Amino acid sequence: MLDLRKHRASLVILLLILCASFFIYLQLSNRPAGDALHTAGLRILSPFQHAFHWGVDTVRSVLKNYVFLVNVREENRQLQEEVSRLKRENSDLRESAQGFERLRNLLLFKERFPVTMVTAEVLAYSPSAWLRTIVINKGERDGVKKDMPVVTWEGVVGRILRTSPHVAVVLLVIDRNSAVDAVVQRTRTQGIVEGGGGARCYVRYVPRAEDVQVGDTIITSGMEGIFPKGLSVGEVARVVKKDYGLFQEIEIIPSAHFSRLEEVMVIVSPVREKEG
Amino acid sequence: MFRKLSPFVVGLLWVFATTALQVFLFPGFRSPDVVLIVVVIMSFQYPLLLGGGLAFALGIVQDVLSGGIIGLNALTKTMIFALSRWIARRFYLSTMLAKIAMIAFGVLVDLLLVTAIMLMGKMVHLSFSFFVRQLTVQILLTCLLSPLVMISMPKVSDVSGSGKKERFFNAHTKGRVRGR
Repeated sequence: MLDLRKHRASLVILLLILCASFFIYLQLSNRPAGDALHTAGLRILSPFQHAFHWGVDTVRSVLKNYVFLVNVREENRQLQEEVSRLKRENSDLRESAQGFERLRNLLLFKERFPVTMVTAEVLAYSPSAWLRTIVINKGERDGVKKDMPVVTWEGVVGRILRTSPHVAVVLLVIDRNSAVDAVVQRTRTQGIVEGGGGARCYVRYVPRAEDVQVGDTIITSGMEGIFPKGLSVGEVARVVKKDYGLFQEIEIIPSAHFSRLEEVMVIVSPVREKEG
Repeated sequence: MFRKLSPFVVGLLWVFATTALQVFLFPGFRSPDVVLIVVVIMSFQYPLLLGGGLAFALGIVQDVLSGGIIGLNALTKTMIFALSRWIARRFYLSTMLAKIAMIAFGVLVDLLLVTAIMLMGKMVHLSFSFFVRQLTVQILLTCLLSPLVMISMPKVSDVSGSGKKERFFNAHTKGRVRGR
């Protein structure tokens, strides 16, 4: 007979694998328990993530302002102090100017798209190699819900994938699971923008006969009812028309710079067109 | 107890670090799978029960923080831990190069499992060339980061079961000596 005590460890591993499989089944079958698992997980982990983000920010600012000024020669102390003061002031001013520029762009964006938005800070990037997501510091308590569009003044960022009371996970437009209805601004040719998993996106289902050129701007069509019409998605970087097939291959460079996202906006009101 | 859990804590810190520092580590690229590195390193040090549980927990953390399917990474990381431990106990993998090779093998298994599950759930459409490209990039990035993670991980060799083996061997030898 099988000695259970001898195989206890293997049985526990088997149990864990079954448990994980059950979690996967819950989510693939779209049961509410799957979302509840995510919400509970985010609720537990978000304070740690906030703390880590704060720690990284503190270390970064310390490095920026002080570490490079250590080991100053004694005879140049006064001069160095002056330099450091000016540097600090300069850095502060530059930071303020950049912040002002960002805010100005945000305001201009809000004027162009009259929708209610919540500005959020990017807390973290996905630790998984297979998903391109970010975590933002706004959640259900700020009115953020699943599938709400996330944008910057540069263009489309993604949509809300998961929420918890204080944070939310955003599926970036460059993820392979992302799809946005879009049009070529110049010709109004319609297509679906899908992520490539890397830094680029692809416009699918554009017939071969349509005129699309490198440098064309791709904007949201507003057809799927998630993103407002006219938001910039990206710029065409490559067009390939093969000898066979119904569609052409269009590669685009996303408008939003995903490697330096700091603040994003979540559109919390239903999308409506600007009058006039 | 804290000493036993220290590789897990360091692993957890690495996961949080990649979520915050991804842009600085590999700007514009995919992120290396730090959890996989930690899990493979743990498989050289931890017993099956404790290590398997911790690999499962790290997988869950990765799933929650990435917003993907909860259980996906928990499943793959637990299986990779068990597989890696099984291999490590049968072959003498003590050098860093051997461990990096084991990590590369882990990435391959991870990608195969994730792809299989996603295809079963009809969540993704993949071409073979895309699969090979992703695999190559992922193996390169993960292996590149692995020496750094390995150096940062505390050594807890006495929980791997080798201590037990030693004790058994000593007792056995003593018995033979006494018997004489």
